Amino acid sequence: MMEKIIANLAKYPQINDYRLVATNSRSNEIFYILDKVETLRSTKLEATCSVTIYVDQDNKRGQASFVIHDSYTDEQIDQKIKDAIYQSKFSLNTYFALPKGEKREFANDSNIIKHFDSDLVFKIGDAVFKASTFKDGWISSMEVFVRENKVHIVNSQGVDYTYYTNSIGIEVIPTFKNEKEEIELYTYLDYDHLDYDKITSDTYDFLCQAELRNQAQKYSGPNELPVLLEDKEIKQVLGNLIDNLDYAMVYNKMDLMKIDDKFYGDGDDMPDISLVPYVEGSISNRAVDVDGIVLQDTKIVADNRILCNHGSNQYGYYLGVDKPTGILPNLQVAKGKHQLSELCAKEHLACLAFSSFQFDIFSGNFGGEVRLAKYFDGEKYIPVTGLTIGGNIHELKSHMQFSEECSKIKGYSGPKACLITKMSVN
Amino acid sequence: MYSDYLKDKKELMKKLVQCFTAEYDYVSCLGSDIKGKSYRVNAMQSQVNESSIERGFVIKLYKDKLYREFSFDDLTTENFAELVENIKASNKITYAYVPSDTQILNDEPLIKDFERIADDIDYSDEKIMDILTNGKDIMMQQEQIVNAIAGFTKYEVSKCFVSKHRELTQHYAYYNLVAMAIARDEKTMQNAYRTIDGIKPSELFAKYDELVKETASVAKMLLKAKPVVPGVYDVITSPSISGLIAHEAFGHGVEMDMFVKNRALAKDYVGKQVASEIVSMHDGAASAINVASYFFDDDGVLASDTLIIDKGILVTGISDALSASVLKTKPTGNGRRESFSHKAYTRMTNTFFSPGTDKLEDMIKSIKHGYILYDTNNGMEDPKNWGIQCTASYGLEIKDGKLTGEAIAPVIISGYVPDLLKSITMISDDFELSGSGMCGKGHKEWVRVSDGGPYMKAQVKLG
Repeated sequence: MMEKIIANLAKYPQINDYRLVATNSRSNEIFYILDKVETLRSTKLEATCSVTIYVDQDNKRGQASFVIHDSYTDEQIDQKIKDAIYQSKFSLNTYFALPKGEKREFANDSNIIKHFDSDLVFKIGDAVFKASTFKDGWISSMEVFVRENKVHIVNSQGVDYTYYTNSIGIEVIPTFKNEKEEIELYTYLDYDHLDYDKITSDTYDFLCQAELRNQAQKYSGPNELPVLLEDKEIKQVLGNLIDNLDYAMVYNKMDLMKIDDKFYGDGDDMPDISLVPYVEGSISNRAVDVDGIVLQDTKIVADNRILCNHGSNQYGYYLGVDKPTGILPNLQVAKGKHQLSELCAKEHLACLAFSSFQFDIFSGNFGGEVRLAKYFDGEKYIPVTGLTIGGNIHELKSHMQFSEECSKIKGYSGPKACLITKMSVN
Repeated sequence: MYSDYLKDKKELMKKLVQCFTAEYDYVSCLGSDIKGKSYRVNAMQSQVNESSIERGFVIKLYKDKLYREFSFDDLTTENFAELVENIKASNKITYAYVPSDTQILNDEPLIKDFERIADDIDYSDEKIMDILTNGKDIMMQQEQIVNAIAGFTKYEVSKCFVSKHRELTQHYAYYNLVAMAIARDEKTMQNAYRTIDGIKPSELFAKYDELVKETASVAKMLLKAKPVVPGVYDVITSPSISGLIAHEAFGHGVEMDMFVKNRALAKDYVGKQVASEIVSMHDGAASAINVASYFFDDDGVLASDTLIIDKGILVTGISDALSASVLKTKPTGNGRRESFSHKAYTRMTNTFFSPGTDKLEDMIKSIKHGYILYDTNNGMEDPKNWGIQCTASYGLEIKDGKLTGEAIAPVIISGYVPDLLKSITMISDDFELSGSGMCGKGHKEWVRVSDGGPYMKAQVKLG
């Protein structure tokens, strides 16, 4: 299909550049009610290509994007191109050059592809149910998604890259019953490799959390105390701060920090932060970004100083960056200086599950309703629920202590936990 | 105009259904052709692009107590035989499994075409960009506004549903107009975001100047907002926050696919009091005209208006066809897919509390110390335990029955859903719906919904 589109684009000399992104995907999916199968699904999608054309006028660059389906005739493609040329005059913005590139296919190193058959979703389902060995708990809902994508990016400056992504996604919702009520907890596990034992073990760990929520009592501790956040929330808090260093935020005058500023304010001994294309096990891994920039590890914060901005080719060009980083998919944070046992030695609240952790990129306010936490009163842990935590990162970032122990999750590699020494809890 | 593409494919869809009718107890095929166009202007840039494009099909088959689906993105005479083989191959199951207690879907005969005529012919690209540029300029003229975004998106939906006994088509459009202002001072940055949504661009654009002025003013006001002192307060929820509560606090809990999995506490409360006697709540694609108003759902079930809470009593939930078949209830037309390549679940559409008889000024006068809460920020459901987390962008303080001009932000509303709904003592005679939001199931499966209602006075925990 790409050849047909490129041949049609060539008929229009007013088009200065173009970019095409074609994604072929297939999936197998299974949906359970309790431990019984309700629906099996498969998808096979291979007939669309996203096209962006660039039309220069008066030293400015206009652009317009559209989608071509394989079913389009040459006449329909022509009409789409003509419409896009017309629309591009409404997007006449500062000129930027597209990245140059070469033809290259990045290898697919996931083992999922070798096991991609109709039985796989059942086997993954079995691996999940194997962990369900709890007296008062069961899995009430489960969905498994096995996906394979092939992404092909071509532009008029020689970029011709192909890469693959494979993933297994598992939504697990267990129910536990106590004398008073039933409770449930939500998780979505994801993997870029198939490992049945890890699926069983991760499910078991999550079911232990659900069992803990079953024992949780209403929080009645202090309204201000140290709060321990886990990797998922650290990723969100630091990731949003790093997002504020995006070229686009600078260009649009929405940046709060500048190069050479202290990233953590007055905080001491804080971990360095990089953006990287590859983290072991992360389903966000990409070799190239959507513009066709080949991605490389980029250190953003070192010794508490902001080293550089990051982001897309277009906005990097606007800021005069020689070599824009491209859109990097993973946050890599160096290990902290504190052992987890040290962080947990005094009274604190360890948050294990939020209903939906929120971070406002503009104001820096963050927090949310905690579905499950462990309150440590200085002597013992008490599982608690029904509370909210909140704070502002610009006031609290110098009060963060990171663990030496590290973990790897989707889009993140770094400290497993972070203690924020003073947060509002209600 | 209804999609020419789907018009051309209808006979092939019927042929595909026919191919599997002998072997399967139920067969249907849904075709989607959705077009969108988005316009964006900010202080530095402008853009016009196609967006939200979707074109493809899903076939649904049932036998041996198991539903099977296959999603694909083209259907032609040339690929027909290969497609049939692919569907057959995907349904070959060698693995031993236990099916759940599903039932065959109802397939009552109906042949009908539905159309809600799009109302945007008077709006050229130039005209829309002029309106947006003007809106952006109005916001940028205010001090402390460092950037402003004006946006408009139009969506045009065509769908075709074919089963052994049903042939349905529908075509409709909806629109979303956005204003966002970013304000900053030496210390902080804040943003305000407002939308107007509906099916008539002329009505949306008529209110735009007022909307952008309000948006910029709110962004500036938020720079001075203080955090709320946590506690339990008398509050008045604006229509946006009333809608958020209807949607997050109660709507998700009455999605009846949750009943099937025994995941919703509401299942045990049908016929019982769950809210104060002045509270009534609806959901349905036919309950209002907004962004989630369609004629039939993705199961081929006609849209309806479901009265969920009637004068404080929980009457019923909402359902997709599959859940209704298991529960042996009538489906309510709430089976929705994120796209043709996703499964259908029970989903909300237009969800709202009914208006009451009180006047907003009387509600304000009745509060000794509390807040009016504005602008949905986010929310999350907890249908099993009826916990609530909703975030309002800001609140305005009321003291001794008067607004003080002081603002709080952000505002997290938490608590236990029945406590909140039973604490409602006054409901205004206003009514607004907002359709800017996308609703997820868990943390995925995003669909466009609207929600809203009147101003409501309640007692809630703020943090």
